[in-house]
Amino acid sequence: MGYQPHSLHIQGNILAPAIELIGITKRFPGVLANDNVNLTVEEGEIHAVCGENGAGKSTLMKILYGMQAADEGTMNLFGEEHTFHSPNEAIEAGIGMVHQHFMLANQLTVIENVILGAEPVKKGGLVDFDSASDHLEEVGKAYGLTVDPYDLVESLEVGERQRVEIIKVLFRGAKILIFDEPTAVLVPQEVEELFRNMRELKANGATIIFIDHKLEEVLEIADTITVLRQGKTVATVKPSEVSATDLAELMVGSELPKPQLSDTEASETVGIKLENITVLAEDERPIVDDVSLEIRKGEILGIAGVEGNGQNELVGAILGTQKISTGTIYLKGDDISNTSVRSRRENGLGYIPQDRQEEGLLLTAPLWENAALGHQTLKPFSGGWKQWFIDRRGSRAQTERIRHEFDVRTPNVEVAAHALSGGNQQKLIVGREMVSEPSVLVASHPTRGIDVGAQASVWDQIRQARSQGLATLLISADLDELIGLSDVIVVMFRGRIVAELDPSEITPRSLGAYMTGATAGENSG
Amino acid sequence: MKNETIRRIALALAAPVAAVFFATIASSVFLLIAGSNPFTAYGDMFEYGSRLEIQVDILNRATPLYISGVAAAIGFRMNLFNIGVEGQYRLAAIVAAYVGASVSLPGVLHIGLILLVAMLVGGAYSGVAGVLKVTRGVNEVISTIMLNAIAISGLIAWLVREWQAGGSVDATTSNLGVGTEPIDESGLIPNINSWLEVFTREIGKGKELTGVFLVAVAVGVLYHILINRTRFGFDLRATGINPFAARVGGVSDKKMVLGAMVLSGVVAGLVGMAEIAKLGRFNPNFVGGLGFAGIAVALLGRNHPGGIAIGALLFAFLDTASGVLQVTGSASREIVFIMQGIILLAAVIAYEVVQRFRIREEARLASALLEGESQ
Repeated sequence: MGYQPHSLHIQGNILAPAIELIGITKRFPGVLANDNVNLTVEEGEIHAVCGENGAGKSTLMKILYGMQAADEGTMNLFGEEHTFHSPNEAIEAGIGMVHQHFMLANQLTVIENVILGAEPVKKGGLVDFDSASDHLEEVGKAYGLTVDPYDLVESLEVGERQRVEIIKVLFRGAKILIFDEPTAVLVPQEVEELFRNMRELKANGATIIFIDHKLEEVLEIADTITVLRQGKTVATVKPSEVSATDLAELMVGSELPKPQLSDTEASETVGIKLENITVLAEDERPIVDDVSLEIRKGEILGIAGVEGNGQNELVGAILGTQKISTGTIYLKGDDISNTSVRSRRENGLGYIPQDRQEEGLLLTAPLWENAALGHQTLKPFSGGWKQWFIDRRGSRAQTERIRHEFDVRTPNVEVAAHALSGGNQQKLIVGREMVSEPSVLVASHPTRGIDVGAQASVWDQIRQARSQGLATLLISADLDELIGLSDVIVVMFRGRIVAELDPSEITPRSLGAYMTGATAGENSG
Repeated sequence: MKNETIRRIALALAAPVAAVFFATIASSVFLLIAGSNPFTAYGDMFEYGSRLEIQVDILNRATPLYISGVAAAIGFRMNLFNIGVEGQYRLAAIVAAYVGASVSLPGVLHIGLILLVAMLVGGAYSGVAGVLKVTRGVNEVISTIMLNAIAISGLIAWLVREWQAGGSVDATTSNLGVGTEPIDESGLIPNINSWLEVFTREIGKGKELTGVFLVAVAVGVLYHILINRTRFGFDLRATGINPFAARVGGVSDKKMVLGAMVLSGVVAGLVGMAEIAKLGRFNPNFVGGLGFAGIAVALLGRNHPGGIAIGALLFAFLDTASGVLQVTGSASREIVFIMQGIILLAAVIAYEVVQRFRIREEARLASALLEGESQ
């Protein structure tokens, strides 16, 4: 009687997958980040999880690593159910995270970094470096990773630093490793080295979850690929069965929304024009690479692309917060390449930032001051004979106007901005940019993280402004928004514009392929 | 609405009241440990502080503290930590005293010139830290600490010898200590005893209420207008609250850093003026420590013009009234330093707690109102 269940239990353990996530759901206000996600990772495999930004990969990994709790669903590790309340519990259970950005102290040695936070102590409260480096060597040998424990981290190459990150995780006894976009910071040779390390780890029995959206990498290294889209698992496939283009299509979705704009209303007048804009990173690498584009009045130009391909820097260049190394920007025909942010704003450049709390609002200041931000030099916020002063009455009246026209739900305009919900904060920002009647609007993810109602109202506002002759640059990861609003869509990949597409003729295959670079080289230019 | 106003005032007062309350209790514990009776000690201080002459002393002490507090607050409003007020006001004072003594002008002009020189020197000296931050990215905390050392043990130590009344002293002379040439009567800001005596009896014991008190009031009013009413103030506060949002809102961070730093130094230049008016010159024993005390006062007053005034008065009261403890022997005078420290610490904590409470309240109120609306 007692024997059989016991044996079954053991057998269950052996056969059970390393990780089994069943029906994971996670809601944030206004967003369903994970919607009944299922993920099964077998022991000893490299399992890639891919999807666009905002597809829910990060949330899923945070849940797995105990940084966030799921609202629904269960998580089994080797057949046993677990619920983590902190990363410490996840580490205890054998899960380790290799972060995208290295979490290393450069002035310390490898061994010091590895034991940081888990220092073995010998008698007298001293750190036991000998046993630590013995253990380090053991771990290194077991997984085929070598590194000199007494090297200073600052003297290491990027790839070696990543190895230290991996060893750090293994040192704490991890059997399951999560790699969060590990190739983002690496050059191609280093990627090769990372993949060698990953294969080595796998050969020695580790289980790896690999988060990425670079398809050729995923196809090269993964044993199994799970694709997420809009918080749902859409497919789990073997790399041998799919091509990069198939994967791209899975990521983007098989059905694209229909363009919803009436006929083009673009006039002949150019609102903003970029000529051969190049922005260099600190290491002299071009982040924005020779971008030229032109948006006419009454036209919306959408930029598609996986995040981190130069969109933010392009926005910064237009706004004036990012130094451009070559190229010219014309606002309504005038060269503004060397003018200040303020002068650009005064000359009719509106801006809806992608992160309203970080770039858009003064959270502890009242709404009327927030409404003035960016327009404080112009009427009705100041100006006239009292141009050095803020016109408090005018500002309040203008804020009331924004509140009514843009349906900002707030008790009054004196409350601090942090008291509003995300959607209302966004409506306030959209409102303040629109009532200033800009001639060019740069909208970066204008509806990210807000509820459906607020989203629809923001879209309406943008459409309306378009018919009144606004030239809009729209950057968005939301394809409904991008295809639904844009007159023209260009795709950015690695800082370059790789394609210009007509929203009504776009296919998931082509869009996905351009966005992930699956066709880069064949069709660039 | 009325309830709300009362609520708001109660919330605003909660933090300082809690801080002083907690500080009193904690100080009492220290007094008890030291073997003194806290009630006698506090009683002595209040009794002493209730005398008119002592109140004049308190105001005289509070005046430079307030100006120094405003100087620090201008920086704080933008998350700039100007620790250099100390060096700025002392350097401003010696140069202003020297210039003041070397000219002879009718009263108002003479005083005006001295104040102007003090402000220019203060602003120029803090401007060095501003330029370093804007052009080379040098942290202002470090540069102002360095500049303090340069000003106090370098420039002033040299200038006070160089500008010594009756010719510069060389290293062999030992009679250092007279200070700079005396400023003519016309350059000294007169006392305003008569203004105070409108409300009170005659001030005795030869005590004089410094005329710089009026300068401090003007500084407070201008500070309020500048910060809360002008575009410059708006840009400054916006940068302090959220530098990224301010930047995309067209605020040039470099200009603001430089502007705030210079302005802070301009105000700092006025800190030493009460002492100059009293002494009629700069001497080697010129009052020190006001710059650092000003930082504490600004923190205590939450960078608010009224709050800084309360903080300055509180610290001035403690500084001044503690003198009596030595006379009556009811406690050690040094207890007030402990008190000032605890008040400051308690204030910082209490403000943070109240602020969190307020944020939650506001969000709750806003959403409650909206739900009522939609139903």
